[in-house]
Amino acid sequence: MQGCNRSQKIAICTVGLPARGKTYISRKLNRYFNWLGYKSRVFINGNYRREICGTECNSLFFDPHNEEAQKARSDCAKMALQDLIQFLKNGGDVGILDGTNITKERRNQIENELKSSFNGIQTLWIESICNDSKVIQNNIRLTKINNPDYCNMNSEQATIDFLNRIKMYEQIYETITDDENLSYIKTMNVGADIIVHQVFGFLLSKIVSFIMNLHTYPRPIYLSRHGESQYNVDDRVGGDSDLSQLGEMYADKLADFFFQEFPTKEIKNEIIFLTSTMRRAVHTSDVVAQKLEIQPLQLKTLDEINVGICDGMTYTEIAQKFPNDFQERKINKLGYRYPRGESYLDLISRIEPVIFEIERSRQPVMIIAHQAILRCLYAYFHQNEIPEVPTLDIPLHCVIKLTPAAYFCDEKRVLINPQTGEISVKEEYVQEFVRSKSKQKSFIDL
Amino acid sequence: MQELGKQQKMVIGMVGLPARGKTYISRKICRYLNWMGFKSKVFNIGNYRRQICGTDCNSNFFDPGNKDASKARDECALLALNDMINYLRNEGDVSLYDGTNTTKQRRKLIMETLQQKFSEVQVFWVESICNDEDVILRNIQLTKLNNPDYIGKSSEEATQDFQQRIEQYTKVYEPIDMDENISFIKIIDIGNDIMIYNIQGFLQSKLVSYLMNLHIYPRPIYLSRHGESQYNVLHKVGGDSDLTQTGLMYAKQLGKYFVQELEGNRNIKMFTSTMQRALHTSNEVCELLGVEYYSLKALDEINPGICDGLTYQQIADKFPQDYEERKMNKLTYRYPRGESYLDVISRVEQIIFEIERSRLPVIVIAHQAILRCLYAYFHEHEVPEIPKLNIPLHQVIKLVPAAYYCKETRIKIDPMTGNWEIQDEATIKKVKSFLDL
Repeated sequence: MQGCNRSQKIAICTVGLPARGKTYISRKLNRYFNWLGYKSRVFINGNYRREICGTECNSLFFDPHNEEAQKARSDCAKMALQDLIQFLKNGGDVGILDGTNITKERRNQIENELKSSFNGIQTLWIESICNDSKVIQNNIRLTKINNPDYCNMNSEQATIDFLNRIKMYEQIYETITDDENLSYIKTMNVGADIIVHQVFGFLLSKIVSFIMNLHTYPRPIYLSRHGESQYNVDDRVGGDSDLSQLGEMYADKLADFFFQEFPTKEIKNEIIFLTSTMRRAVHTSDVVAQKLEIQPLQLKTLDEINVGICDGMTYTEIAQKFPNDFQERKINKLGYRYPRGESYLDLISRIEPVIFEIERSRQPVMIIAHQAILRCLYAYFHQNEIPEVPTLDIPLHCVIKLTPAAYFCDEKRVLINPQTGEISVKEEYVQEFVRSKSKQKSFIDL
Repeated sequence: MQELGKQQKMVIGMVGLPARGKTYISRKICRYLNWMGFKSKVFNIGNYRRQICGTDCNSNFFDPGNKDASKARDECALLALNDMINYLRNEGDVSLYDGTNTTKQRRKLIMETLQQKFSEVQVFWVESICNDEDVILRNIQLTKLNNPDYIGKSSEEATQDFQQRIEQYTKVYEPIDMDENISFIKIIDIGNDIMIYNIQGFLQSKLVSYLMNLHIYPRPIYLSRHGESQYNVLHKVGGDSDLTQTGLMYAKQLGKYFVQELEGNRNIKMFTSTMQRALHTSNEVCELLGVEYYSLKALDEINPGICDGLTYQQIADKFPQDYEERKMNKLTYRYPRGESYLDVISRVEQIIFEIERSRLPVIVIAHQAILRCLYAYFHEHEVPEIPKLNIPLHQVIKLVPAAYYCKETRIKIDPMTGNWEIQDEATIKKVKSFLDL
């Protein structure tokens, strides 16, 4: 819930052996906080180590008896912590320290450093524990092999070296105990089992709920706008108009597309099908529902942004009647609230429960809704920055299939011609490290 | 927020020694579920025991070595279980099994019985563990001494007997173990430590979030509508009109009320909506108090859609069908392009969590429909009653949550004179029969 309790700084530190999902959890939390309007950032120990010590570090570098390497690693960790502290001092709200932090001594140092640097900071330790070798193998395969540390090895060599690295850490691993006097959350078995100790406060209890619902099931999320509506044709905003003829044709073709996409009855019954309560979305959904023989859930929370007094007007009319508002919205499309209506920020707040539910679901999700709503949903799962939300491209007559994975999100756009039914597909597979290499100068800035 | 998938029926089993807050927690959960639209009921095993074995049971009755008594108690447990299953088969969505259930054997019996008789049900266990002697003693004093088991006994006798009863249970207590293979949440020392295991499904996840926010600080909650607005005077619905002179005066008097009521304490949380009438009321209060408020769109008045700006008479004339429909079913009727009370309940849920979580006094300055929903939640009204609850202008409703109920006080403030009239309404919630908790 935006706006509450912004005064206190929060530092979150991860704990756990390699390949336990610490970076995954850190990044998901970071995404969630930024989404809620908090200035949040992740500081990854591993990245600092790569920048400073280079990426040619095999498992021997991580031997706890290798004193030189230990000192280097300890220095890197200190730098990460200092950067986190600076971030919080310069206007940040939440700093996330992503590292193994597996010894009591290290945790104690960090906790003391944090507490002494600020007057009233809330610290939270999240320990991720996993003893399922299958899950660990899978994690290694999905996230480590493409890690810069292993660009010169093939996948077998990389896996063996990584498993050796884990063994090094295991030698000195100390799980968090109550006498360390830390607020902590231990998650085991990918969030199925959780222990919470001395965690209080608004954001902290939100974190527990969020972590409880995380998983790494690669389930697809389909987003589509309703078919073209009467108001779309007239270029008007708001309203509760029905589909135009072209819109109805799209609904048919959309139903055909989904029919192909979900071939068996089992899959169809698994789908979570959501739509809004507005005519144009309901009618589009009804056509799809009939063909697939499943029922959509109509949620008022998915209704289009409320344009208040501008309801029913064209943009030209708005510019003429309310020139000041028109200008204001141009300058600040994100925060501008239509008089008696909503802003994009209101929308983001409004759909939070839906996002939560989608995060939690392990079944395919299908949403037929509206432009502003889908901009918000898309931005969240595709990890766009909030200021980008109001200008994201979500055209009519297009199905966007998102498959969120550990560090990135697969996207596939299916443009459907309503008249001919012709389909053209655009795929975008973005590998996180590849993307960051081209966009950013340093890994520290993930 | 509705569940996105298909929600199974659910049984929530409580576990814990006596005086650990099991009944408190089960009643809270029951309240929350009913308010969210899941028909729920608490089945208190103690009540069954009282009905069948009588209320003259001293602590020897609870000695695990007392074979006759143990048999009788097992029978009561199974009776309650049967009633619970019937409830779920007929009209209920969730049953709460409020009993100690302190042995693995008892829990296993319940799981097996449920598997046999009603296999499609989800089972979720809530264990409350408390090691703080002061808290336990306070619980005993607050809730046990008025218990029918101890009518006619002095409070020392009762406390002593009850503590002995706890000892009997402690002899055989087996906290939930992970190898029992059940979904559970353990709440230790009122939320200091929480353990969550094998949570499944939407509802269990929501319950865990809810339980994490509960506490037993008796902080007051103040609800007030904005001062009289221009639309109030014109009898129009909706709109974003401003305060009338009278409304403005109320706002100032409201501020004075809080200055006196809070006695110098400025550590409070204040919430209001984004509508002018509420904002301006809140501004006056905050100026006098010197605190800040949170303005939340979630607290905006119910959206009357196309009826915005009309009087009820005009609505009856222009949209006679809708007018009738709303009269018949005010809870679910949705104004075209607007909202229904059910939409408002859904919208206001996040505020409920905020208020539950807060250990500081909470002030909410909002609107009639919104406050009806909030009030109904805290004061345990049935959901269908919500649209008719009496929340008049120029009145502060003060709610102080106590053990099993909410103490309510209403303070009528005259905007002109600033005089207060305090009404101590229904301070003790009526309990029809202990069986019907």
